Amino acid sequence: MNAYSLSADALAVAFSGRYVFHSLDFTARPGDAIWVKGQNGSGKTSLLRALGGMIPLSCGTINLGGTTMAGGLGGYAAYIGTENAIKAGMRVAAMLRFWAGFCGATQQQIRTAVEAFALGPLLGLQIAMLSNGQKRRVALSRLRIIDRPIWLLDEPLGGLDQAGCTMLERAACQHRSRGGVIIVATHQPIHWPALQIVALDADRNPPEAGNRQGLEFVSRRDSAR
Amino acid sequence: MTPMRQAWYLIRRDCSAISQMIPNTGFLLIVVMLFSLSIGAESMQDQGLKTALMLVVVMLVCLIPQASIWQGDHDDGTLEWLISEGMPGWTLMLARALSHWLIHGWPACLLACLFATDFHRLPFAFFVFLCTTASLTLQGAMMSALLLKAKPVASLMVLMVLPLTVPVLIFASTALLNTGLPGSSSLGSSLSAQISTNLALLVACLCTSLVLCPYFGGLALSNAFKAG
Repeated sequence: MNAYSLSADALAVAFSGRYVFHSLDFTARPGDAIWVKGQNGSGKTSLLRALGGMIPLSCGTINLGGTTMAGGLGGYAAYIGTENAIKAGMRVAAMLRFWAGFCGATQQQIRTAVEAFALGPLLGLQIAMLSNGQKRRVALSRLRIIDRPIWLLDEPLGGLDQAGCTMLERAACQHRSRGGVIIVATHQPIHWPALQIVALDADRNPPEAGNRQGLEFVSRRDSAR
Repeated sequence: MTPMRQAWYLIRRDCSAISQMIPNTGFLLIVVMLFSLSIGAESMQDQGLKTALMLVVVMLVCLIPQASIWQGDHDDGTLEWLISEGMPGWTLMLARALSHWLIHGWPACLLACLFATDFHRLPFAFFVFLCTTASLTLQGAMMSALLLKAKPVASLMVLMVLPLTVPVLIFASTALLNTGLPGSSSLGSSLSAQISTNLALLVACLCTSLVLCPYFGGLALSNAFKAG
């Protein structure tokens, strides 16, 4: 895994002519972790989705290691959304093998993920039989299987017990020590070392001259009504 | 990872749920059996009736499970993850349509051939049912993608898919029925032309579906999260 720095410049996302967030800048060097905070509806999930390339940016640029990423971070990011993206009818081992095959990971990466999130006793079980916390651990193990430099985590602690939180913290520390970058959005308190905080506040001031593209987007929609 | 390799793993994963084949195949068998019981074995020898019945049952078998073909992936976050992995929408559509066809369309196609035609017309009927099930599967998968966030999806599906399926059914039934007419074994020139015209139109429907359905369905899937 290569280490990259990540920077965002004047990011904005708008739905139906209204900003979810705008004028957002941050920079992360290899090994940094960013905690995205904000009230409900302030755009935390939208920010992660925009970084992951699932939704388009209304304006702004994302730079990864000096390269502008027009369509989001795509193959450089591992995304864990609020939903686990696991199939209730599959066994845990089959789910891990699917992710590994789909992303071109090795058996060693599967073993690392199993150890990191203590999935050994669960491997033969059907996912429908697991508790919410265990399902979350299975989903989080995807981070170690697909092994990307940027982690985008949306409410990763949902359902995890203390031991699960510690596993995630340990995995995050290892990832950062290898030069990885983590962007985590959560309402729950996290106590990882050297966390940068990016606050998404729904009442931020309107965008200024640097974000003209976004302003035009809004005014065009408004004038059409 | 190339999109094709991603699609391969997705098809393998979907086809591992092979037991899903049982309810639909059972549905086909039960409909045929009940129909035979209700109208009598002699009436079921009528070629037109057999063909029409099998085409309608095949259509239902291909389309009914499609109402929720994307819903599960959308609700459990799989679709979001697949898009975040950069899998193109059209590949996703093709992969899902193929696995759906392998589980539902392929068994229906085989059974329909056996029930609908005589032995000597089997290859021809097989080709017609192959084109029909493949077209219907692609159209259903596209509509299901377009209606991903719509409610109630089942009734909207019926409303939107039926106009697309009617031409396929007409071409397929005309091609099949004309082969069953007396004297069709010698295939007189006008009859042969009628069969080949309908067959050509059926293949054209399949080709159009193969190009357009992955494109529009893929666009719908890629845009599924853009409205929040």
